Amino acid sequence: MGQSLDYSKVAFDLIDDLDGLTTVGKVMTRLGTTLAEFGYTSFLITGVPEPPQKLEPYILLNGWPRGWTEHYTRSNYYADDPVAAWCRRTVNPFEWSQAPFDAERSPRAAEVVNVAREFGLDHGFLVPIVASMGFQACVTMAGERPNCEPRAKRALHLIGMYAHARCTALIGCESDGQRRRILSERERDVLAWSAEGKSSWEIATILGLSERTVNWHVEQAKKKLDAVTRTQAVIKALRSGEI
Amino acid sequence: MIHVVTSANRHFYESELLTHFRLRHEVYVAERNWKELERADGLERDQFDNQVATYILAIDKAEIVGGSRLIPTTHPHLLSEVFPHLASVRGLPRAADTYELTRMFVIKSRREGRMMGGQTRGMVICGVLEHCLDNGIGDLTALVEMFWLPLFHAMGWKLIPLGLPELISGEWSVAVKMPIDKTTLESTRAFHGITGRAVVANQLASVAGTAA
Repeated sequence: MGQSLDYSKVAFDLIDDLDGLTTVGKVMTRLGTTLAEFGYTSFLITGVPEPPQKLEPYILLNGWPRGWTEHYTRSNYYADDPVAAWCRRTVNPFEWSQAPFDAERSPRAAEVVNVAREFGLDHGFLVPIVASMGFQACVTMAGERPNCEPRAKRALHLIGMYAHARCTALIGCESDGQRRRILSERERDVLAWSAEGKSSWEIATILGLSERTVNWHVEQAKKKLDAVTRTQAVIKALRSGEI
Repeated sequence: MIHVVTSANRHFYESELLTHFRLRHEVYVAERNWKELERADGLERDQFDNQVATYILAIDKAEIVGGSRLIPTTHPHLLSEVFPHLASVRGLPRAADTYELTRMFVIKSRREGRMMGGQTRGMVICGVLEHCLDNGIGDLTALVEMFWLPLFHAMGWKLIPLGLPELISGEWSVAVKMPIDKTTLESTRAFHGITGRAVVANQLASVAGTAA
């Protein structure tokens, strides 16, 4: 790695290229090449739900070493992962080693960090992302001896934000709607019928519920989607692939 | 509804503008703790609040609930005078059809959810876009906190960074250029569930009505 690497050029070249990358696979390859220039050999782009929710359904792009995600899932590490915990508390990028935890009181947290090392995830850097509608997400990356100069980290901050945006845009178009669902089945049903122009009374009849229950589900959905009106909730639900 | 205040009509809006400076002081000094903006008179005004400034005011039943400010980039503005180094990679665009967007805010009681603003924020942003499209403004520049980028991406905006992010008043921020057109307005309206125009049709009649 040359010391003369122009971090801003690397970041801006990637950002310029992203719009032309039409599949998640292409973004993954291009991002992998870019991060390698900074010494990061693996990465993950994912939503960061509150435990006890599981991480796995929220993963957008998985560039972790073979076996790590499987081990992480099987061992149920997410709830104890100190890096994930810190990510949910800050909007500022950080090195993994800055994520605080007490090894005495949380031996599980220490285990996550130690086992990660065995998979080559020695030093990491994480860019938190407060996605639209309040979803927390992140781009996180790791390597054995990455570049941690301030200018490199500023470039990676930009890279993370834009790579995440491109992935969400592409997955929004491609996906089967299985990801990042926040509405319950009933809330989805009710909004889906609203989208068909049905009134609360009609929906109540169709679903065999009381009108009051239908309205209650609509109110819950509005809260979750940060929507003011039923129409806005329907639009947001459609746009995010919930219905 | 959104009112657009320029040097041509600001004599009709003197009291609204004063209230808006006071609200800005509440948002930026009291709430966000930007000490350098603190003023003894409680009105947050800087050197760019001058005759060339255009104000986008969200007024709901005579109450100012949000706003924003546009400065022509051919005049001195925040990025040109205070943060030119933030545009060091791509250079600072300065052109007659390029305006700088600053001081976008929604009063506390009108914010919903974790992301600031909701419907009121949508009205302010749509007001900015309508005013720009009405007046042949094709590019906006702005200094934005990094945590805002996902929201603008989700609204369908294109944000072209001008330099690397930097810590400003404790927040990572980046200078961006944002090309805007009819599509940007359409996707922003759809995102917020706004169907009609945000800027009021007959501004003067409407402000006379609120004063009565």
